[in-house]
Amino acid sequence: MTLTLSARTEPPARVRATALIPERLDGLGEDEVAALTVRCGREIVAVGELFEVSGNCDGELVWAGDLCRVDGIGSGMSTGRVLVQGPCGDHLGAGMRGGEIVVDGDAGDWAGAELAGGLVRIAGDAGARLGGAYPGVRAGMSGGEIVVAGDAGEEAGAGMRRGLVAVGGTTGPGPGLRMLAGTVIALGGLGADAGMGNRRGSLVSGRPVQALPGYAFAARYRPPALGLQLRRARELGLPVSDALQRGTWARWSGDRTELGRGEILIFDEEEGV
Amino acid sequence: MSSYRLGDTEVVDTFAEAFPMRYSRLVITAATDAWAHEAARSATGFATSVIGCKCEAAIERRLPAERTPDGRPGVAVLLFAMDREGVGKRVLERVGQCVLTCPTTACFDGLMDAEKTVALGASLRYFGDGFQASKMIAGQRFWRIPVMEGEFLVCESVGVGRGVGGGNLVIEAGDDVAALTAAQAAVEAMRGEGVALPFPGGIVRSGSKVGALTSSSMPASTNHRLAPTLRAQIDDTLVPEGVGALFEIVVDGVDEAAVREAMRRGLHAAAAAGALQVSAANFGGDLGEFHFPLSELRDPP
Repeated sequence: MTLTLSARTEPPARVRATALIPERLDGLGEDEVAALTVRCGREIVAVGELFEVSGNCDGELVWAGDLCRVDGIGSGMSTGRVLVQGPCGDHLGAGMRGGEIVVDGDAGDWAGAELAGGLVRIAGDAGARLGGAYPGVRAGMSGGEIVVAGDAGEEAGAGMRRGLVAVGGTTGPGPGLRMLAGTVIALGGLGADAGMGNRRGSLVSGRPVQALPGYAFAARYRPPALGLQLRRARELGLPVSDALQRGTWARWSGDRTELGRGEILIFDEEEGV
Repeated sequence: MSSYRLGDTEVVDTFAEAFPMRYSRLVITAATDAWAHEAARSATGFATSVIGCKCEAAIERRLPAERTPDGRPGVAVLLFAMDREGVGKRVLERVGQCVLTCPTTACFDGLMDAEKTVALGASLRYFGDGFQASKMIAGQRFWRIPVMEGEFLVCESVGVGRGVGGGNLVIEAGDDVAALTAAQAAVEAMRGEGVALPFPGGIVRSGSKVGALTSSSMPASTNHRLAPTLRAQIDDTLVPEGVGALFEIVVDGVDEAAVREAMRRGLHAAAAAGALQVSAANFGGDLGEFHFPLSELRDPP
């Protein structure tokens, strides 16, 4: 059975919902969930004051209503499924280790920050630092998959160590900033200054992009691993065209100001169509 | 020895004796079906008998592009050895020498649900001399090894399952042409999912016996009792009157049922193709864990 938390109105301040994840709510009745407390701005308030609680959680939790001020949905979860009906606040799925989050709308900043496992699917746009590392932390995302159908904000995949960030649209400036490894795909094209300080990461742009001076052109080829990743992105709902799947890609190696083992793969439109 | 008939074919009431083995399934893909097949043929070469080749391997089936992990044409290969360590060594050698080297190929694990695994890309990556890179894709680790053409993509490890090796049929006919025709028909019917026929074209013309009459150091020698040319020379020949040639089909499978059903298909196909007699080879029943009596294969597939 599904537990549904419907926002009664727009919360008066930002709500920190990190405690409300399926594994913690499993087995609790409606009254028990309603009696739990969350931080709302400077106040501690009962869940029931902010949300109408219905059903029981059996691994699935649905968020509904105006959630733009609700932060940390699914944060730290390791199992279960979270459905968000509409746009939500920041830190969606931050530190998540497993399970799945599906957002039927936009997500705020820091979605999937320091993700360690599981799947985050966002039907709309995502804000800044998608899958990124929090300030003071060297490594960001260490596993899992984030799929954004729309656009992503600046510095998507910053500090990423492992995993996949796949964006159907474009990313803002600075994708893959100080990336350690992992893959950031932007079918609509990477933003400016992609892969600055990248060590071993892969950045993939479905549209032409100017590589930073720390990158050098290597070759045009059909990267077999990218083929698998694009197939995976397609499985997860991104509109990956056959041209992208079968076409050739220009490989730029860098960032030579760092280790220099990273890459930017840029779709070769002339060859690919 | 009692027998039964399938049309004009006499089926001897005997059994094939088979052994537990370990196996892996490799999925080799390439830019074209022809290159995938080329790599698979190379990887399964010199793999007819575990005694002489340390493994038995064969192409299991061709895979259309929509059934392979990377959406390219592929070939599934089965490789059998006596234990997991043996499978690991042979897989590594063969992928390293025959698949890595073949243009446009990639290599995937075709036994994803297996409990046990052996390293493949985890070891082969060192060929990359430090320039290799790994990618986790959908929870599975792959290695990208830079090569002159671009990159060779290989899975980190491959699953190892418990299989059965040594199922067989002995197909007998009046002359070599008729026997080969029947054997080829049997091979055609036997091939399929879960089955490997490791000998050339699936057919053995040199059936062997354990040991030798003339040497104590020979592990195996010709099965003289099944040699038609010796029929009048020895007292214990197994070649019946009217039989001028015999061929054996050895079948390894992913489980007992796969071997049994392959033998059933082969038996009925050989009978339909004009075999005079069909028999099977065994070691008296004391060595092999699995017995496949031909009497249980009477019903058509």
